[in-house]
Amino acid sequence: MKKKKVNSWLSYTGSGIIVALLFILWETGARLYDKSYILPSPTEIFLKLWELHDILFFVHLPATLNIILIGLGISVVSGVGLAVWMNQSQVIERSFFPLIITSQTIPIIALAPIFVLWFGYSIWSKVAVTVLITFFPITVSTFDGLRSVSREYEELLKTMGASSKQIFMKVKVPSALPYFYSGMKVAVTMSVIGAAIGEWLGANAGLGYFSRRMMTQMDGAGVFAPIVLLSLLGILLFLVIKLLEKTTTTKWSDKE
Amino acid sequence: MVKTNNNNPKSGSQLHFQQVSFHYGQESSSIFQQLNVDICKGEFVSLLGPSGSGKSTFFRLATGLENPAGGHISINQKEEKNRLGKVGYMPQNDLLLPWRTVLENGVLPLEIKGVRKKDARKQVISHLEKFGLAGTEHKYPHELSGGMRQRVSFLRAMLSGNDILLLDEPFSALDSMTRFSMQEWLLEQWSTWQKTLIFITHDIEEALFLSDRVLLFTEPPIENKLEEVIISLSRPRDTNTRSAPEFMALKQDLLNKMTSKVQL
Repeated sequence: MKKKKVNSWLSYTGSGIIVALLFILWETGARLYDKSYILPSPTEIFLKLWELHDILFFVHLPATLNIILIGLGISVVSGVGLAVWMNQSQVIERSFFPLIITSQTIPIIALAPIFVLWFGYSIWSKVAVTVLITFFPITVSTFDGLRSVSREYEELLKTMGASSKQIFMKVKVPSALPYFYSGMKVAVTMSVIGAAIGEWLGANAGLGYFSRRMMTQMDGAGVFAPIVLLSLLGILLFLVIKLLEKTTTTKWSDKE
Repeated sequence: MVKTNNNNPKSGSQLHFQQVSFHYGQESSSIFQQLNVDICKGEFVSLLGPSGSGKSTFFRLATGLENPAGGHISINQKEEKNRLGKVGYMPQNDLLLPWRTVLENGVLPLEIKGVRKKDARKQVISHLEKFGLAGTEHKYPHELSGGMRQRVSFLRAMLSGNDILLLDEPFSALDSMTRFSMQEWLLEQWSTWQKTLIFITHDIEEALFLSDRVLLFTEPPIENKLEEVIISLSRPRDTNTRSAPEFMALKQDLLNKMTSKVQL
């Protein structure tokens, strides 16, 4: 146990070294190339971030976060709902599952302009892209989680006289939780992408919109600065899910 | 002594199969045909037989997970159409919920019956010591040994509050030393709680050591009645019982009966 922990810390320092090396390479490369509108150096990006922090943190970051949270909220409610429904009825599963898979074969980026057509520059065109991207991992993983419950457990509870609602709450929900969280981890990182794509196509605020506007002004560092923020936002959301997972599924999960 | 060919439940009867017929699905061959079984209050009965001989089907019928195609099943001399929740069941693999502690696992049948959380916890805690589980209440199943997990599983079945407990090969996954001590432990519990125990096993010595009566399951379909062997060994039984001459004689008798019935 203890040894394993030490090892995982070692692997983190390993990835830390690699990241540091990449930054040094980037910094020296960018300085030698010396065309900051094409390849800004990390220090330039950082300075830009500092220079624009007011507008980035208090205008564009909240706008993007808003889209992400609304989109994720819709995906969680509808995705979990659909997963539960599909788990309860085979007819529903047969009718919806192929549709869900098909929805993933459509290139969502290509759909985004249609959403702008439908919802205009309002927040909903961006939310729609986010939902379309995050709905899939949440639904499929929750559905798999509900299906993972072995029949033995269900039957054991039946012999105790449990109702199907009790079986659902006491066995299915706890069994499905780890699956749900792994779906959520994928979904939150993709939600950042979804929101940014939505904003590129039509928005008047948000990190994706800001990045694109800086591109038209040939401001390399200005393009990168909001991207750094987007990536940090994705990491932060991921950590929030991880924390939630830890507090709700406790110690038993380190069984295997 | 009890006769299984009697069609009416006796006054002390706790579980009674009357003319029970059963087969899985529509077309598959029949497993029981007009089977009569009578199990008395406080009895320890083992169901002995090779796998696929219908022992588990008997349990599924008794717990109410399956219903007979013909005949009746009575509990406490009352015909019960819905038996779910009326018979305690201890499964083969302990089937403790891995995300629940010992205490939370024990509370499960009480929770389902709607007992208040505080009272349920109190009840479980009051039993832990007698079950040799003192101090484990906040441990998770994966932190316990196999024998301890089975004890928690037995406690859970007991707390279902039913007089009949069905135990489905509970010790088959344990090593032989642990199995021996668990068998003795089970007999102690049985005499303490005065439950009716029905025990599935395919281990002849285990069946002999534990039971008042052994019912032999052979190839299905099983018609009318099961062959039974009455185990007259005195109680309490301990390690010495295992090497007593009567024990050996009964074992030989059972072996002969089984091998003559089971076609290889």
